[in-house]
Amino acid sequence: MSRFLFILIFFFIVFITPVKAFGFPFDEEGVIKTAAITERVLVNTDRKLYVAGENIMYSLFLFDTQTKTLVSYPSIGYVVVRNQTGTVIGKSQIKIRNGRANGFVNLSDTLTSGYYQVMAYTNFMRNGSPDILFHDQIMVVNRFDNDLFNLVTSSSQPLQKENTVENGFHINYRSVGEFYQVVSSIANFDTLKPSFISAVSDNNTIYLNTIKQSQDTFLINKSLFKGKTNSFSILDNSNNKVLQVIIPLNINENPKIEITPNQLKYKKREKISVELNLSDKSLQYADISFSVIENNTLEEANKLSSASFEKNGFDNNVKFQSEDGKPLFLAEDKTAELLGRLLEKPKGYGVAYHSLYLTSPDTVSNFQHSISDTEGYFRFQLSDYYNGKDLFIKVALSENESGPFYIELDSKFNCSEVFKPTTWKIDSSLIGYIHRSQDIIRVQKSFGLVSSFFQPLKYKSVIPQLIQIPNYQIFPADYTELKDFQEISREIVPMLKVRKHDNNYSMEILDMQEKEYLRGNSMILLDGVMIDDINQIIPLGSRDIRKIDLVSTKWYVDFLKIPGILSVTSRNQAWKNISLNSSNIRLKAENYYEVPRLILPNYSISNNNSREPDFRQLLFWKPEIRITGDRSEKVEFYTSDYAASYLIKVEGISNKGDKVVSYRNIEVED
Amino acid sequence: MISNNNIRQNIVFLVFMFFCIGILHAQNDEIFSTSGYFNPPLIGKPYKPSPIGKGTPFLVENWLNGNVYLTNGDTVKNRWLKFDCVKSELIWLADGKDVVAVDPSLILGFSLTPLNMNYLRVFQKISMKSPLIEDTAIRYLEILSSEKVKLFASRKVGVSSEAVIGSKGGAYSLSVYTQEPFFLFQVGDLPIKYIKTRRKSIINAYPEHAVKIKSIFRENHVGSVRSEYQLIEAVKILNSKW
Repeated sequence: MSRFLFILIFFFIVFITPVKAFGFPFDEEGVIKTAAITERVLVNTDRKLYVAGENIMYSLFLFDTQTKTLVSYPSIGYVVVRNQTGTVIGKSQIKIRNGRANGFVNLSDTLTSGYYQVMAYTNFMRNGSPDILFHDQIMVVNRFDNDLFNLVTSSSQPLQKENTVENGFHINYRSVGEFYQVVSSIANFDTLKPSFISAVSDNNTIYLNTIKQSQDTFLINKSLFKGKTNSFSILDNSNNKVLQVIIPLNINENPKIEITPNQLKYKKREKISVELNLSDKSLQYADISFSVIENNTLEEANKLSSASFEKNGFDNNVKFQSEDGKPLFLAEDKTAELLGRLLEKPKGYGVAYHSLYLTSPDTVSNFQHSISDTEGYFRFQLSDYYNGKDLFIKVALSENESGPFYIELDSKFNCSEVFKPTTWKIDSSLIGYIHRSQDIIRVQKSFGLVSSFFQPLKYKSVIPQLIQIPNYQIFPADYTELKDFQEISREIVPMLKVRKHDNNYSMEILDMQEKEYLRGNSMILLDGVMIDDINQIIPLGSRDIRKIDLVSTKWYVDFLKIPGILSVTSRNQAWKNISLNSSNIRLKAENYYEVPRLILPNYSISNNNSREPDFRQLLFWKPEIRITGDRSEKVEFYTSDYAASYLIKVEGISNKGDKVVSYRNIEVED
Repeated sequence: MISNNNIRQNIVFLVFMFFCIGILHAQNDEIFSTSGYFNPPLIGKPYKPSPIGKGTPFLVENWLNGNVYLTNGDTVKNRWLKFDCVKSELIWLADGKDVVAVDPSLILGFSLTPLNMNYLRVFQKISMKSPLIEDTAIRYLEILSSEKVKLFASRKVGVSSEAVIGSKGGAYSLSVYTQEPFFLFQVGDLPIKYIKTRRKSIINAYPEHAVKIKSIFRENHVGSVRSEYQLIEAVKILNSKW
């Protein structure tokens, strides 16, 4: 009786109290509700402005908003570059380990000048709303675009208003230790007094003072700004706001990372040694990326935007419920997934509980089987074996079934969200920088100093093999030459019968165990690719075929029963001439690419007579560095032949989950 | 009035229920990642059963729940399995009716959970060369101890036949299946040796360690070893004292 009471109490607690208490994934209606999407991605690019033909080098962080740390499980990241119409012009797939990855996206030489969007996410993050995906903006300039018409005409507003003069009012501010020093200027001070300076944080006035002269200075303690939206304002004598200047969040005046170069001014081809230390002693470590780029007004202006990551929703958890018809995008911790939908023509309804097969050209038979769900969605597991390979997906049709079906595949690189670029201020200094960059890239391209060939990465993987040891294995070269497959099957392949009827061929396999012909459609593979019928193999003779494997029994792949398998391996990649019916689909799997090596000359070896010009604007890029509290990290590299002002950028995440940024300027002199 | 014992039992029961729910929840989370969603397939051909006879050709006549460890590193979990000791084949009950002999080239090993037991019987595949035959054969050895001193069992089933008279007076040959396990012993990385269920056989397996083994047996009062159970216990003692 007492046990019964306990059970009763248990079920009462489980089903009546809010499900959060027990972590059950059911909501009040009993519908399965998934856990929060706590993954977030942060991407640091080496710079903000590129010339078309260059590569965007990036460092990626995969972060968990609940634990406030980098994730420990493996994953796959997707980085996409889109133009203003939302078209994907560059993409990168990358393996994430311990929450870190680094890669590149090639920018085609033919891109037009304009703003481009960098997006980054994991497959699982695609289940959430678009604003949890990482977004950033870059500028790309075509190296033959001399008048920069697209950029100049679109740039009508400056980035910030801190030096704006509107109607005779002016606010300027800068950071001085723990304070903001705010300077107000009022052109017609005598007619407009009294005027006031105020500071507002999240709609609360935190500071108010009288402006006593036409140019007045105020010190406002930074600690008063506790909110998310902060600003300075000038109020007229009727307390109306006549000018407002927004302060960007978390402006990095007190950097958590100290950047200490051995000098501030260098000569050309001189060694730079930079020490990095955690200045915030409460931090144990910070994972960062490190870049040194020629400074320009765009980099300066974007220092402020990179310091804030509110727009990436780092502190926002997103939950989702499975909606009718919407598939779940799996977290790709072990392998990638290939998601698709089987639909019926012409109405486009999902076809449920239908088998689909995945094969790929290889000398070894490989095979995967999937069954579509109630909405017609199916999935295949894409291990590293499939990287860069052609994939063939075939719909299994039963004997009295003809479709027509068609397959729609999910693309991980498609983003439906509209890209609304932020207009950046383009001044004469930036235009000068752009023109110099265009000249430099033209020279570098002429000397082949910018990588345009990308090597695919090879990973060890296991083949999803269908047959290891067939019942029969025949090498036609061991026999007299035979002209076509019908002769081959008749003369040298046991247990296989090929018949011709009305110009069409069919085949049967004799089951050696049961001593009868196997019923149903046997599987036919040509170079590892599953084909519809034997007619496509008939023209192949002994000269074309290297090997024939035959399984002359039923073959089980989990719950799928295959009535015999004929696998033919050709000498001349006959799979390329396979014709597919409309229910089948062919695609190319994505690949992983080796990050192109940046040219980082070592001028300690005396090669000053090198004929290759060194006009690097990106002096150094190191995407993954960990700085720990107990020791400093040293980075060394050489300046180029290009005298300019350079910006050292350090950006990353601390062990507490906060974003850390730090900057330092250095000069390379003539 | 509820007694203290009852309360304790019920609390344990309640905790067990919460634990089960926790496992279910964990399983639910797993299916949202590729590691949990995709299950590796078992591949094989139809199983041809041995003739019916006296005894059983299988390790255990019942289907047992088990896992199959594949050569590619994956594990196929929770399948109904049987081990045919005569043919040295692992078979699987697919769809509740088809019996499939799993392709041995895929298998690294397998484990079975005996009914109403909370331990696993783990088997590892090896290629063995029989004394009289040139070729190697695939065998599955049950791992009885995998520490410094290892003990394996090969669950061989011998097949003989006996003549029986059928109901209608005809004479028939009936297969007789007899369990004939033999044991293999290994210390460290030394070559594996056949041993019998005899104390002397263990001592003499490795002459270089004979004195040590004998001394451990003497100190721990290991007298005779006549059964598999005694053999396992003797090896446990060796492992604890080695």
